Amino acid sequence: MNGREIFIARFLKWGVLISGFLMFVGLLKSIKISGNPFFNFQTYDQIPLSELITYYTKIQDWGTLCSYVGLGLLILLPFIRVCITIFIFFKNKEYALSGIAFTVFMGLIFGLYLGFKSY
Amino acid sequence: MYSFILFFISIFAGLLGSLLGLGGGIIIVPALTLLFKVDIRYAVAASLISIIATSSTGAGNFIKEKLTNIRVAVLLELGTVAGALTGYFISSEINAKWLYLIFGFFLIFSALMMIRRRGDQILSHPHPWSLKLGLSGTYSDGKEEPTPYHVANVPFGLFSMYFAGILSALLGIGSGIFKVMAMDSAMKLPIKVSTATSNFMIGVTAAASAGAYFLKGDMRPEITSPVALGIFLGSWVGGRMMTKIQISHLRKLFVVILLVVSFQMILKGIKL
Repeated sequence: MNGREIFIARFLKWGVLISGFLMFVGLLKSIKISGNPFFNFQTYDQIPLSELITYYTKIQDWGTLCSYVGLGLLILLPFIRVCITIFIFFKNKEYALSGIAFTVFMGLIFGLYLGFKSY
Repeated sequence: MYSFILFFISIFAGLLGSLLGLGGGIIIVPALTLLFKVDIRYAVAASLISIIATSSTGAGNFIKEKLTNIRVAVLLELGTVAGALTGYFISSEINAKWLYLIFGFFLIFSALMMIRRRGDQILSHPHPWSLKLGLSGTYSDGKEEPTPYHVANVPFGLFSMYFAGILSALLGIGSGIFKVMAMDSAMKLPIKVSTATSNFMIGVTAAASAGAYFLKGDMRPEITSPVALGIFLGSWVGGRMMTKIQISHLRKLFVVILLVVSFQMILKGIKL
């Protein structure tokens, strides 16, 4: 599986670079030099992601939206990495490990479902 | 200004994380809650991002060096992902006071684990599950021929990973200390392999609950972007400094810092 391991390593490297770039652009566009940007987060107030995205789109805060895309991509990296391992093991006819990786992937999807459920 | 301070703290967290083999979580959560007074639930969500960043940045290098055992990682991820989902459920119900207290005690445990002696134990008989799934492997430790190793106590390893997953989702940490301890003490993996495999796994463990926190709206770019970017940079610099500095002194200093921070977290928990 050597060549494929290198493929996973390269995939992670590029994924990190792209998501980092998006977050960097987003941060530069929306950064506040004065004031405390963390003041609003001193007390917990649950606002679902869909509402936040709608709000930032409405006020045309493209910097924050760009950061959200970078964040989403970074979170998706492990999902895609597990997906790649499912196919690698399946192709090598290692069905038990492929099945285990598939179960892990379903666990990750269930995590997303829990996030949706909180709406 | 505050974003810059958080960015520099995150560089420091990424640097220490890669030099000492930790995720940045045990630095990021106390920094956000104690210095910036951010609610611990936002801090936990931001910290999970730092773990995915640390894992994705470091994992590529470890894979190239052939230290990561992807088969063991995939199997143990079953336990960590199940644990992370359980941890997410618990975090929705638990009071912030308890999060501070659990975090404080976890820091004390981490400090103690950092000063324990670690040594490779050679195993001659692998566990039957290890034989069935082909978990044995080889790694390079500077000799000409790669050194072979086997894997023991697989069910215990899986069980330990479940608890590591719960802590990860609950406290926003990678639980690398737990994972490495289970892999090298119970499963008898060589130290280098258990560290690399743990680094590979922490990203998936964190992603299990990070996806839920992200959709729930707890991950705010104002906090997470400086954290993730600082961690990227710190891990990258740390990876290059690793061979040039004396880690043992740094480790001792960090143990003292961990103990001081742990008492502050416990005090904050008691006051709430």
